[in-house]
Amino acid sequence: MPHKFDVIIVGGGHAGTEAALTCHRLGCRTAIVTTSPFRMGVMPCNPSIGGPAKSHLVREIDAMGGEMGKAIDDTFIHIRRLNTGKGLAVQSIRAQADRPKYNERICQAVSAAENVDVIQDTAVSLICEDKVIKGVITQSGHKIYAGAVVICSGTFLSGVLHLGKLTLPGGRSGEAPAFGLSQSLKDIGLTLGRLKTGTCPRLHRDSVDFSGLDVLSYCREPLKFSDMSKDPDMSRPQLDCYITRTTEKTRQAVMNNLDKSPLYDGSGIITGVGPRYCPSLEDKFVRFPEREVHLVFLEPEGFDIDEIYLQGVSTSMPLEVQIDMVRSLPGLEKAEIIRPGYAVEYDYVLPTQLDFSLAVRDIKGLYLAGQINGTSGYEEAAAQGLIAGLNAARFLDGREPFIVRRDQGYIGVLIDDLVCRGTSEPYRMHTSRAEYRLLLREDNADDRLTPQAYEMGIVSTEQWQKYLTFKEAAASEIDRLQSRHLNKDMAEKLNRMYGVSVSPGPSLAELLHRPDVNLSMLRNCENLPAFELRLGEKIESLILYDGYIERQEREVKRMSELENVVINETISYKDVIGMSGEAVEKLGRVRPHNAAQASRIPGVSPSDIRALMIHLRKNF
Amino acid sequence: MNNSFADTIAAVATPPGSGGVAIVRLSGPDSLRTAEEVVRKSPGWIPRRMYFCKISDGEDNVIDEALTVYMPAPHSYTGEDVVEIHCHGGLAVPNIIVDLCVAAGARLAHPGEFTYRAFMSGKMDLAEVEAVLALIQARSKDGAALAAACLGGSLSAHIKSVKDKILDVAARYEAEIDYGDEFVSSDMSVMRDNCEAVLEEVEGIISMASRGRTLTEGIETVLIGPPNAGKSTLWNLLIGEDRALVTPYPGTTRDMLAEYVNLDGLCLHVTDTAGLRDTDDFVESLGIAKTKGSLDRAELIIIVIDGSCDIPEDFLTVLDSVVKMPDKRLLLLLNKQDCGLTADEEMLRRRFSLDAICRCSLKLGQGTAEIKQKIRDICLKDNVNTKPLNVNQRQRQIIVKLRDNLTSLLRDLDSGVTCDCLLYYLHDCIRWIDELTGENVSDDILDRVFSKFCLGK
Repeated sequence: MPHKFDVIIVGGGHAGTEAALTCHRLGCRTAIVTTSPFRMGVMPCNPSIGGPAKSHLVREIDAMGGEMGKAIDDTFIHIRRLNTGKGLAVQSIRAQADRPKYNERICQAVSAAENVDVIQDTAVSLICEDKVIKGVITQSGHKIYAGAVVICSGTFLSGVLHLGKLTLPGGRSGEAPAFGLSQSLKDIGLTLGRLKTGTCPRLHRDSVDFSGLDVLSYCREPLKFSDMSKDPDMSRPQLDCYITRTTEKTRQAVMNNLDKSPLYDGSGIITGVGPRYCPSLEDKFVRFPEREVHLVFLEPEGFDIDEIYLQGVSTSMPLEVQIDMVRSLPGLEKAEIIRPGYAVEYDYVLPTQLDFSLAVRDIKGLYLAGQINGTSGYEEAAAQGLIAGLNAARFLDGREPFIVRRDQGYIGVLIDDLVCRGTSEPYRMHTSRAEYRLLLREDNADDRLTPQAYEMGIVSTEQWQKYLTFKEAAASEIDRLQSRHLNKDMAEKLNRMYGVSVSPGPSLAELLHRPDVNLSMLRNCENLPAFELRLGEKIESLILYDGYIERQEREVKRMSELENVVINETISYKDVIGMSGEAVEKLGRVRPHNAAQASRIPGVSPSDIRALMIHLRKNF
Repeated sequence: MNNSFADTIAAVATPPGSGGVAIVRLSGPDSLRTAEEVVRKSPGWIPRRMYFCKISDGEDNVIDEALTVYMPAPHSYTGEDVVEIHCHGGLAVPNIIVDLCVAAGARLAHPGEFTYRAFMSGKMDLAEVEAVLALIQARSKDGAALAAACLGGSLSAHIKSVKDKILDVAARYEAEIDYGDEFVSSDMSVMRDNCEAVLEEVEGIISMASRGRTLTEGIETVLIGPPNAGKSTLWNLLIGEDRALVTPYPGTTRDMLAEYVNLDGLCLHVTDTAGLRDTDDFVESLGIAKTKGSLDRAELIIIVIDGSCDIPEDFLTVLDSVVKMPDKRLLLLLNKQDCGLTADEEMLRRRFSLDAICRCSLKLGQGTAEIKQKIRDICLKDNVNTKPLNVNQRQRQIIVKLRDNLTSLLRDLDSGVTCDCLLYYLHDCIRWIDELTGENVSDDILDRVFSKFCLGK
């Protein structure tokens, strides 16, 4: 086994594999050190990818040559659109993966990358000399050396599983946690925190009576995440999801057994902070007593396995209570639990100790990505993995790190939030976190990121060509729509075919602003072929969002004035006259690069920023 | 609080003039030590207790007797250590005490610096600071009362209520977007209804603000009348000095003169105008054009007519259009009572539906008390519903932006624009509100979402 690599990736989850594959694309000799080499890219929680803001992240990963979009396109068993009718900026897709197939698909991608080695072992400490990372030491005593290390340890750092009163050391159900690495991170000066997340019970498909349940159907449009995937075969078999609802019996099962929940028994066993946006069922009943019914989703996990994921019933109750809870749900009266839900507590590194490239400040060559930074979700992890891998490789080449701006991608929002603001609960991406949401659409992820990614060498020529073709097609179609006006003949056609009554005169572009008209209707009337779905959306959104895009771009420009005020690294915040003590402390810790980042740090008020600007003008 | 305000500042904190008591304020880390050099008092101060003590200069000459109080940080106006010396008023004594403080090491405070420090230490929000600054600058008693009301946070309170409502409606739709499959989507009419209500509230704030503005900045007042009716005489009478050129020749006033007038606490910004008539004189006609412009801006129009002769036909025509202007307060003066009034008061009352008519002789000063009383009555009546709110230009601009955003939202909503774009306007409103209050809290919407809705599959 070789002992010297360019980059070592610790962990083979969604962050680790994207990091490794990105390093691979840049020609780095890369090692993935993972406890479970056959479980790379596994989905330990819900078997789905996408949804609002998350599908946007997947699109951005894809625009930068990443793997996630292609992998889910190959392996989904159910895909649908969300937020149709709420606008193209927030519209998203969500897919249920065939869980074992997805895992296999990721393992294949890694094994196809010839310069990536997978080492089955557990990293227990870092080799770090004079604040420069040199490699890792594994459980079996190997020393593996590299110029950069990316840690993507997920929930494994000092992981503890909770099932009622039962607590087991573990990173995931059935897998040993990683001890040692936490101490090593503390030794190099990092502060760690504790988070908690939970998962839901899995049921045996045959024990569920689906007959009375609401069906959540898949979509019959050719939806896909990656521009590089072929349009999906519409005859490809898909599976439905189902919805059931909690009952009074469910409430009683939970409320009468709170003393058995490690969350509510007063023992304080679980100290980690759980996510507000993905509460356990215990949390839901306790915190929202006025709400009588909670939705529960039944999601298939694949064609060849009999597991049904019971989404919405995240719990750490003991097994016998979980059985009562599950059987109180309509359709699940006879349900058999294959695997119970559990909560996992793990260490994370307070992400304000990172810089915007995801490197640990003050330690050369050490990068962190995924849940170790306090995030939650496969997509959030994969996005960070890609950026951390990219920047680790660029660091080795002596290049500037690549930092995605907030107006450039959800990835930028995610990392900027983590670094500037930190997080005290598992951080999930939401579209409302993006102040330039109208600029960050699924349809333009490629416009935002592909040119830079291609230049950096992580996007294939094939993908680059496809991007150029799309771009050109969109530009010429927009030209056409703006210069062509509705004539009498076409107006009649629109009326006859779609019942839209409109008088001749306006340009086709103007016509698109009507809520009852869309691009495919217009092209149909003109006997022109329909565009590929994404291209059509790109064209429509450029026309429909015209005025809003302009407004948001003005805001971006205004903010870039602050962005351009570079903060000298030698600044001593306590010398800034008029700055509040809190701001001095926070700015000293985060050490933002520019005034815009400074303005986003909680506790830093606009007047602190004014004081800062005066100080910078006077002193630098 | 950052200790960068290493220096201690001193100034007379009360308005200059002949008040009975003045306050000299010291603020900063050395306040107490500085005060002890100025005030004769045995050591030991109980916070916030008034001590009666003598003030002496370096040569032990007693200057004044004063009440002195020590307010240690952070429980003071500025959040710093503060000492206040309540001495006798007037110009001399307080200034000598400040000089003594400066001699003892304090620095003379810049205008507004106490308030600046209060803001920096988080004692006040930006809206409150601006209210204080307005208080310092208020031109009249009513204005001061108004600023004081705002100091209690009334603009902040109104804005907070608006923000709360905007957050509520935004949170609902944001939750539906970010948890697309867990909600039945709300109808857009919920957004419309809520935004219409918020818009109404914002418009209420705007009209309170304009009411407040007239009180602090002076009610825009224009004097009009035919040439030589006595407008300039009235103007001089109101401002109490002979500023306008008064001659027996019609058309003397060609340019407009404007001045602030304080009528027992009611502030007017009075503009004298050229007489309105048809004229061939080029310079004079320019003046008349300006008069028409200032009429548009005016809230109070005082019409001065020479009641001793016939009213010129062309002026009656002018008057016909003046009384039709919306939202104006009108007062008609029948001047030159001393020459015998021949004007038909009843006809004027009816033709122009005027309630407020005064007979007077401005030259002799007859009826001036009645005129002043009428002006006050007219300006302060029928505003019972619109309470004044003190708002400066920057604050006003931001409130107008809220209105514009909400108006655009409602317009776009009705033309079928999608929810993501409509929410843009609400986010923009919240950004402006945070700008107004000087806050910087960008997780507001998410916090609201999580506190209101049970989310998460």
